[in-house]
Amino acid sequence: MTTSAPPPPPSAASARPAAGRFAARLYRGQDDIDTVFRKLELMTSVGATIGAVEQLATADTLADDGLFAWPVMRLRAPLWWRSIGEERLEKVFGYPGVVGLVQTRALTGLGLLLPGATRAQRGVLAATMCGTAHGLHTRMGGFGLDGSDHLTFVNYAVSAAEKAFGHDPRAREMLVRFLAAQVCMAYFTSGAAKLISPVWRDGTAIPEIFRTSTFGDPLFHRAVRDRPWLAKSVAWATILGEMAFPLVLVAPRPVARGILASGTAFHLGNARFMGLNRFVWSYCSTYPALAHVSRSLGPRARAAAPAASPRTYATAARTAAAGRLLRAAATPRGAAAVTAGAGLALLAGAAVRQANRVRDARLRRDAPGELLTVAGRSVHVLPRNSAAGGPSVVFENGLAAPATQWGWVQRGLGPRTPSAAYDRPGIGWSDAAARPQGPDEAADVLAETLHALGLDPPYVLVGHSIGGLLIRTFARRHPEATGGLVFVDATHPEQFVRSPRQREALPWIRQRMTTTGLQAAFGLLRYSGRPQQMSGLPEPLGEATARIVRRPRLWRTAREELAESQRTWCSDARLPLPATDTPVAVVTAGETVRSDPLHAEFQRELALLSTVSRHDVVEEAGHESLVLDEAHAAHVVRAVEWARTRAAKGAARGAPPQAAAKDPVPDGARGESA
Amino acid sequence: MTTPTALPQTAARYGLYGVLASWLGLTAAKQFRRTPKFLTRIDPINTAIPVTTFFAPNPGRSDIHVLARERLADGTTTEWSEYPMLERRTIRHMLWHPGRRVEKLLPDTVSELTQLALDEKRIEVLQLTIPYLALLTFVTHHCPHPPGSRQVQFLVVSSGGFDEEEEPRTLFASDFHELPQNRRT
Repeated sequence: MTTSAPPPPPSAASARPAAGRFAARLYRGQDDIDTVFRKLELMTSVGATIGAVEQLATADTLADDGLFAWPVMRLRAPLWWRSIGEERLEKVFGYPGVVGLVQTRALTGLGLLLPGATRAQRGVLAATMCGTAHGLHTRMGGFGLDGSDHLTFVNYAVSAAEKAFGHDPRAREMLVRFLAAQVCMAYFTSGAAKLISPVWRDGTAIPEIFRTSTFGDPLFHRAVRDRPWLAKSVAWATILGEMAFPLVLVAPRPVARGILASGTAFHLGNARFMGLNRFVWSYCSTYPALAHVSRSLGPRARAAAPAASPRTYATAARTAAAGRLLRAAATPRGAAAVTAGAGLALLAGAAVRQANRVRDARLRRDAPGELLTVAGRSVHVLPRNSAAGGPSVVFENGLAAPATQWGWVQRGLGPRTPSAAYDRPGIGWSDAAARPQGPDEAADVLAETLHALGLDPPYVLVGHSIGGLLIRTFARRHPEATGGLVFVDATHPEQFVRSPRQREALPWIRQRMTTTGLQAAFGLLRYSGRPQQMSGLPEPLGEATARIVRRPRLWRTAREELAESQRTWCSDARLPLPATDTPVAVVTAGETVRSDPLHAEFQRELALLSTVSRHDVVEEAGHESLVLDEAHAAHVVRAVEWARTRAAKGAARGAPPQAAAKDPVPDGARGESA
Repeated sequence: MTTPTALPQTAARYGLYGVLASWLGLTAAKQFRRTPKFLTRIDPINTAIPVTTFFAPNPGRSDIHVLARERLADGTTTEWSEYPMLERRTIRHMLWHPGRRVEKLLPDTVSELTQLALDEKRIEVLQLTIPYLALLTFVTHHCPHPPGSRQVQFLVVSSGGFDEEEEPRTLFASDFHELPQNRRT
């Protein structure tokens, strides 16, 4: 009698469901690194194939009359392509030849999705994807591409290289690390670029991105539009999440897993609400590589004994290090070292403070104008021809600009024209105030300064940029002393409300004040363009100005003034002037109008403040160069002389002159109202 | 000890390390606003050396629209009309979004065109630039022209998208250009 042996117990592999076996066959490689690359190729190829089929569905855009027309885009082809020969290029990249290139890409992508390919075959397919990507991207002139296209190229390039170095485990390991580094840098860069952006930090970027049809979504836009707290939360979650992403390489296992899960959710959210569908595939395909390199998720962590988890080691190491430091500090030598360190820090602080004082004293000594004491503070004034008679010209500077900015204009005025430019508190060579001046205080300080200087009214007030707000403030409080107003590319009190471009620029101007101040604090401003721009002023003003704008305090004050202008200056300047026949001249920089067409409207409205007005547009001038460039400043001089002549006539009659029209005047032409 | 057969392998490996380190370094350098000019020569379209400052520091906050009008045989001009190229977001876009490249092309070309226009005021020079020619080709051949049209002009406008309170802004207006003969119907 024979007995049959009992059947062997089913192995784990045969007990696995069919779907599981298929998945294992699909992405299980010959070793850990091969599995990482197989997963990378699979996921990347899903996105790349979708992308290629999408292009086939819209192939007419590649036709000779389409948006990506080859006769146009060939102009951007690299020079070495010419060596291939025009006919061959036309055959491959012309229409319909280029469709074949896209089809090749789709089929190659599908090939990488099929199980059973050898490593050599996968290498060839990945290299083909790189080649077709380079060809297509160049064929499209670089237009219409996004970050997923670029990372897809990197993924395939690294994958192809890994096959070429199949015999070298160290090179293969390095390729995985390279890919992880590229992706971590991409996330970190993206977060850092958002962190330095004021519109991301205050959250306004979120509703503004999501309001667009291109990258937005009506549902999401409605959710964040009226909830600034939500928009800010989304913005900061994005910034911090992206910047913290590289921690996946060193974080404990649950945190590392959480980071990868958050990354996946982030890309899925972007696909749903921003239409960034291919990013999911290109970015998430690199996660197996990140896990491989990760200290807590990689093969070394798996091989480690379960009793000694990385978390335990890390906590123990941190505790030990902190304990060693504390014990060292508690010894007599440690205490002496801590005390000496604190003393050195105090000495260094005192030395820096003293050096700043010496520098301030030297700068004050070298001030190009006079220092008057007004309201208990030192005010720097640049008077010229003070003894001459007739209406006096008074200059109000722009933001972060000292009184010397008027150098060319003051020189351009005749020898019988009394004039004075002055520095507001904290700007130029004037003492800083405890807080920025409100409209009342600004008008009072200016009136007292002019009185102390002995400059007689009527005054022709000339305001550049934000100074335009302050001359209106003064004119409203001292109508009897105001003989005329000259607005030099001046700020309109409603421009930040009515002009989207100006509104959008505001946080960037604020940020520029901060960063320029930091550059000044670290002595880096000498390499910036601002002092060089100012150094174009007539000597000795140019050199003195270039020195004074390197003071950090000037930029701090400018930032405070910008905030104050939004709080009080604009609303005060919006109030009507008591007299409607005070001569008003407006000089506009053409460049400013070109950058914001609404600026022309604002400038016309300034001219409408009076029935006696003129408006010049200096086409070639920029906002700053209108006063800093000698040739452009001549236009300002003519406008000031015009206003002064009318102010003199008005003063002679005992009342300002009457009537006139107010058409904008082209560049250089005398635009006096007829 | 390195055997003779291992030597080429070691050399190749170190060569690879050099390439990877350079690649990483160039990618880092590319992220700054002012990038060295040689980077543009190496990779003019950022295929291998990508810029990854997505939507930052200054994100795009507007939709771009292309409008066209025609000059008729009698010298009169038609009203501006828009050729719609933007799709409303749907859940389908999570997987399938064939219009994305055209939607992305608009801000890409317009950004390049307006940047060029800041430095170059001569319209005859701007007319030879790639973004200008791309948009002109498109409006010439894809926008419907009324019978009797002799010339076409395009206008690039930005809008606040779903934020309808914001007024559209004109970004660029082209010159008038002759339409091909076979389109003058």
